[in-house]
Amino acid sequence: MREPTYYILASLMKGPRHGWGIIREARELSQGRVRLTAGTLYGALDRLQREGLVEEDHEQIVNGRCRRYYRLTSAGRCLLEEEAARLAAAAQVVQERSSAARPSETVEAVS
Amino acid sequence: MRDPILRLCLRAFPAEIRERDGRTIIDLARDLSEEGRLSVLREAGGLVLGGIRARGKNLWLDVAGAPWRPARERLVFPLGVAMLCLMAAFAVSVVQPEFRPVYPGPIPPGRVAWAVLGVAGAVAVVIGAVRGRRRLAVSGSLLLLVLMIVSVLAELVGYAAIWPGSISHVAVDVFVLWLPAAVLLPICALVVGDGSMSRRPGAIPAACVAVAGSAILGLVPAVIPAAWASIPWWSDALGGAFIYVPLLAVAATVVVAAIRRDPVAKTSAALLVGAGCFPIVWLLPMVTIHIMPDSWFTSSLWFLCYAPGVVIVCLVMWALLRRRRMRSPRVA
Repeated sequence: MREPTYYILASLMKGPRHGWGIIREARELSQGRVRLTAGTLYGALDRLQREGLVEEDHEQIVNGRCRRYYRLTSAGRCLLEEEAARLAAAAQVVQERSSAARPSETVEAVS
Repeated sequence: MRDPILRLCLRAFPAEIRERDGRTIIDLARDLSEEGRLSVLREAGGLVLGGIRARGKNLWLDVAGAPWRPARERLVFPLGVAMLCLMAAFAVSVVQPEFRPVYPGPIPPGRVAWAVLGVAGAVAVVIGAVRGRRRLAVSGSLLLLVLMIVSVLAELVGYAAIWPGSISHVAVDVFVLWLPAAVLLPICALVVGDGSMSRRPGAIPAACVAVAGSAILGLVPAVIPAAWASIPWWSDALGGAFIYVPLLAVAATVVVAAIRRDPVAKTSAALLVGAGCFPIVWLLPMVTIHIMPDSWFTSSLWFLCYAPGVVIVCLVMWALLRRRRMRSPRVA
């Protein structure tokens, strides 16, 4: 799963959001790494809808502008949780090796 | 100024997406473009990029989702008929006393035998397609392919082209132009596979009518150029002897497919356009010769003359393969 997709799905975990909310949330969660535009967000949401990971919730007109809300499906939630577990496992491997390597490095540095 | 730019960029999306989601996308882009000075440009670029991606995805879905297999099966018969027309026309022409090869060089031996084999191969394809005999159709189409390759190679090995026509007084071997169709024919016949070529109802009468009709149709171009020979405008405009036959075949296929709105017919038409594209690609530079300065054709970029023809062929194929998408209604 690509990083923008991951953060788009993650931004919908707390409930339905409209496009602008998704973009802002994804930017905050990724600490500014994922900066989506309207065009690229639409393409991603269209693909995720086809894959059954998100679905449209409702539409609202605010200040004359149309806002469409999307929500995460159960399949999308499962996939996101699996991806998070995979990333956590992958991170743990590196962290364990990193912490195991540190004492010997310290010994070598002292000797 | 912001709205016209965003609206213009939104046009990068396919029409069906614009109709359904255009307002939501543009309103979101407006919201985001209010965040800073450069945000408009960023959103405009994002819209163009997203639109190109959406169009690319649609194109891929159209090409991947086209009914290629039934389209190829359906093409065996019309391609066989077209080949029979061509071979019949050549067989009649070759025995005429006024038949003269345009290119210099020794006269190829066995020209009559070549023509007879060509007619036999095309008849085998037509009968095989009508009666659902796959092996017969494959054998005939492979024979036609070999004959075409021999004709094309004849020029290279010094025998010169055996049936030249002319376009704007430039000689051209008609069989070279038909080579893509000859290549497509055995592919279509072979991929039908496992002997599943469907038998048409009333096979024997249909085969007789198809063979006789194709042979008679093949005689028409042998007569028409002689009648038009005294009218240079028509002769040049239609490309002289025989060159217009594949173009007419392609045009007729496209029109029929468009009228029928049948996905299989449209895919067959796209394949046929691909097979018949060489004349179109080849013809356009013949027109540009009269428009462009001579220096263009002596430069290293002369091959770009073929680009418009390639673009036209690609656009026609895309138009034939394109499908109108029906999407599920939105959740209210």
